[in-house]
Amino acid sequence: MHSKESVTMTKGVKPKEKKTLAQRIKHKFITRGEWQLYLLILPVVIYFIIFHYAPMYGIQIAFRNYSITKPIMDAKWVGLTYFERFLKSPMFPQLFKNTVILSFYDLFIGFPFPVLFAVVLNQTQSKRLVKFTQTVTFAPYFISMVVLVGMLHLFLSPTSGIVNKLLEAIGIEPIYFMGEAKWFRHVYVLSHIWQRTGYQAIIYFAALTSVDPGLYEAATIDGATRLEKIWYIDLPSITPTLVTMLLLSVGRVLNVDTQRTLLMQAPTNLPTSEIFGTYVYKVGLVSAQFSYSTAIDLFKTVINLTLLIITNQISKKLTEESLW
Amino acid sequence: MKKTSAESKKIKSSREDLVFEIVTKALLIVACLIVLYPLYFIVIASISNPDYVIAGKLSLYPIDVTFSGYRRIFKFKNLMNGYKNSFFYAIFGGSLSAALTLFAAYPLSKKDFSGRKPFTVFLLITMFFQGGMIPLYIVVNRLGLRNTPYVLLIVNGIQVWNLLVTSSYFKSNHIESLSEAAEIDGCSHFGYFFKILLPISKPIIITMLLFYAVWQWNDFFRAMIYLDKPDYQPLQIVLKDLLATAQVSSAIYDLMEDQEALTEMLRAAEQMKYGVIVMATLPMMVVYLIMQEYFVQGITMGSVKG
Repeated sequence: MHSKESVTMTKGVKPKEKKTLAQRIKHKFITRGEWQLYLLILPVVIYFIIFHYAPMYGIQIAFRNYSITKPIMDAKWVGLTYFERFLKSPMFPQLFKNTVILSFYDLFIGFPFPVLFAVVLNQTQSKRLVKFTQTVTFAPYFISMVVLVGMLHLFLSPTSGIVNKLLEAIGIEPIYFMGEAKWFRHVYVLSHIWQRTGYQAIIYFAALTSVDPGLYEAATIDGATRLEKIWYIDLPSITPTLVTMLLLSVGRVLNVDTQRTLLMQAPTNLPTSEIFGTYVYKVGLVSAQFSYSTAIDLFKTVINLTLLIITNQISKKLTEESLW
Repeated sequence: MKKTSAESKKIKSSREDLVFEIVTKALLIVACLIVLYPLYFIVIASISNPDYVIAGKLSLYPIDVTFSGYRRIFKFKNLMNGYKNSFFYAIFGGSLSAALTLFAAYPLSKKDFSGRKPFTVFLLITMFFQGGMIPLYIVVNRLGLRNTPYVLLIVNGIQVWNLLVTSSYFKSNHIESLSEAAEIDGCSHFGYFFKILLPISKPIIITMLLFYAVWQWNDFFRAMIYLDKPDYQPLQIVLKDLLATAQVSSAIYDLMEDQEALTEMLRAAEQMKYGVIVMATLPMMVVYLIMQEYFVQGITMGSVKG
């Protein structure tokens, strides 16, 4: 009602009095009190200018020979030197391979779990068990990454960890899970599934519980089995959510969790665990090569953005679901 | 003929239901055990004699209960300082972020606000394109925020996703007649927002406070980048130094098993690790269990939009 009235009001006023732009702005801003809305949003806008847009301006150090003691504009322009250096370095193929493998492994092995879990939750009649399971499985989400990796170290220790004790009991030599390069990806993905499944399932579960119960009743009358109901009712009803989540994930293929990976790194597992994010951190902040690090970071961001746009277009064509 | 087939179908379906029910229940119980057992193990290991833990004797209940691990933890100054700091960051950082998020979300939820579109685009861009680690570091450095406690309160303090969730909550919560009446009465946007909208939006206020506070409590990366001094370090950094050394210490343990003093030290360290995990996780678990509904709401509110 309110918005309708304001529309007719501006429509009615404009042709008659032909207010100037300045007058219109004054009317909205002062008389209708919009300045208060601007004031409320101002802190966040300033915040984003300083902490998001100012760093965007700083991206140009990827094209300059920057050192922290001098202003950015004083640094010599070197064009694509750093990008060339990176693409020619032996690190590039390794980082690319590690990042993409880890990301897709995590995505495609990790993705079905919350979906299936939500379907099982939805099919279970005992509401108390469902509630309890949800409470329990959401809990690991609140465990910090540092603690989670600490737990992995304790459980997987080759000398005192419970997992290796179990392996020993069935006659398998202790395995150095947190140190060996060939184990890194498995430990990463499995621990991620353990921590995230309950959390991610909440979204799908919410989509499932909003399904019209009439659909199930109709299906029952038609003699559909439970599995058929899952296949023809449950899965289609979560497809939009699923597509959105997949799109978001594909758009961050090169943004594999840097922090988690960094914590899980050991000198011996670097052949598989060194990824874009961790390398950017090491080059930039550990060895202080600011320009080089920023160039690698920018390279990563641009590829991510391109992938996101491509997958979004494909999705638009195929499923009519898209982010924008 | 038709009747019997319908009947048999009915019987079949009820039997199918029963099997289904058993299978789904079993799956859920297995899921619970997979999540709960590691957590339970941490708790019993923190109060058991470390010898049994290291030897792999511990499975279902604590053995030779001792609280020496916790006693050591309480005497560990760095850790207690980190604990205190993290509470500070979670409470003040969480409140600051939540307040600013609520303020900004209100204008974004007003359909006739002239800045709605441009500001939304302005915020959304940052979700897909960022300056990156080093450019942000340079900005923080220039502002003189490095090695101050404020850096953790401010940097990455506002998340666009939370802004969108809050604004869509406000959108569905607007009382148009009230907002209109408020405007006619000369009641300002401020008046409507603070006196009418906020009091009826408690769920979103609590949700935002919780999300930001939990995030502050669990984050370690910003502290690793921006803080060198131990005085301001949050708990997670102290934990990182303590827990990430597991492999090194067990390697030393193998080499020097005969040295009693070292063994004793490592024994104590092993037990402390379990205790430290319990202490670091307990506050968030308690908050989670009390406020569970709000967390679930917060996540599903976001998904409705997306």
